[in-house]
Amino acid sequence: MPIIGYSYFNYIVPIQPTKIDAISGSVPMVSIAFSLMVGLGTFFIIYSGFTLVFFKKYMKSPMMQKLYLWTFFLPYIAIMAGWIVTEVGRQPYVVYGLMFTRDAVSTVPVMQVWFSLITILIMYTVLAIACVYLLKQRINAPLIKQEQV
Amino acid sequence: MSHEFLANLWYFILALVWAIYISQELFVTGVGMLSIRYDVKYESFQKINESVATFWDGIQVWLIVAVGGLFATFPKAYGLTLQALYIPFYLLLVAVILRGTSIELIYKSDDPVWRKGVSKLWAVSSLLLILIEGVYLVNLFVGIPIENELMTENFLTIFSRATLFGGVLLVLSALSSGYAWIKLTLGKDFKTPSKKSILWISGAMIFNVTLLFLSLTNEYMVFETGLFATKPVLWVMPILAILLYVAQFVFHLRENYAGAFVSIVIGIALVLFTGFSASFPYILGSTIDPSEGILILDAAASKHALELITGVTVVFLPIVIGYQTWKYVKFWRNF
Repeated sequence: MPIIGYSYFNYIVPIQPTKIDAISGSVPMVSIAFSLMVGLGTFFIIYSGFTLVFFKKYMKSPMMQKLYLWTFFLPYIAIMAGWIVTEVGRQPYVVYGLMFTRDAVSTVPVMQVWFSLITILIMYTVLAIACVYLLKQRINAPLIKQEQV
Repeated sequence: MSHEFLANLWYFILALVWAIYISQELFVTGVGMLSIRYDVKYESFQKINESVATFWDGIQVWLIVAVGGLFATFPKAYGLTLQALYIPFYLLLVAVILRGTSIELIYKSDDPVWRKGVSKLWAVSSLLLILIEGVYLVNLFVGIPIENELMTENFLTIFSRATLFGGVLLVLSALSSGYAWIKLTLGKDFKTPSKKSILWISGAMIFNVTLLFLSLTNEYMVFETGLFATKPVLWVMPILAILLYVAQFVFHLRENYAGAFVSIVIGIALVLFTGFSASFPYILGSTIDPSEGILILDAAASKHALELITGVTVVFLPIVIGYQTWKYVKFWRNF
């Protein structure tokens, strides 16, 4: 039963051999991203397990509670690292063993792709700012709101 | 079942999904556009927001089914349309994202500037959404400039007279059915834009739908090649569509909003079925040379794939339609 780390490699090797080569060092970007993903995942399991087991200790310790606050961005990094392993590790194929990435490129004019890339970046930036703005308001608001008449 | 039968069946299912989607999306975007006449400071805005809030996200899934179904069953047509109509599809995606986020986020902050900005975004994105869908659908009916399975001209050529008639038709239908929806769900006494303004809109729709059909006939001659050439009985659909559009004007005049709403829903579905059956042997026609168009059978996925997906659809499509009908009954006037 594969639980953590590299033990489930045996299942992937027959399906995508070159990805395993990339993870074990032939492509530094993929191997770093993989270590990051697995490392963070292990950290999450150990840390949350520790919290569950020693919950009374956790409730009394401000330092441990603050650590939770400062680790909120780590899952995002772990998710992105996972996607780097999936996508960069699969290169040069877009569908493993069936289609090369260079064959899958569409004929959409480059300017149109730039237009969509830049505008979607602007849109997501605006949405992210709006999200932070709303979160900040929610955090700063008192827990029980005064009834407004 | 033969491959050809399955491919044609899927062409029909996609037309059906588009008709179901558009006829529901109309009132959501219509209420969104009409919301620009309300001030977010007052309770009336919140009421019209709530009147579509339980419906919009479920309806939007039909759009995913329509585009995803095209991907699954006609991968060639999917690849070509999304390549050729890259910018319109991208703008549609932006409109879908902004519409959804604005409906959800208006009341997440107490700041009046925030509320005002997001409520206006709802109206603008609704307009963009339904306009692009109209343009896209009429482009499917008349075809796009393709040669050797490649788009030969600038994407701006998709904005022809007929496609703009299609876009404007959907916008006007959305306003009219959104108005009827507000009256139906929030009561006849609910403060709305004047009856005169909606009569202008629904009157313009009669001319618009007629002009759309005339443009399809005279500029693109779609009725001479498709199913209409061999089966004259199909002429019932466009004629009935025009009659229903006249009927919704009369219903608006007599303040029978249920009648107006149903007329628009069936009317727009008939317009879509007319278009899809007019372009029938081609899933994506070519405006350069008809023989360059992509045939339904050529674009279809393999027989095994079609059999698999048909089996799943036969089970789940009735369930989804049944569930959606139940939802309308359940949430009716429950605001």
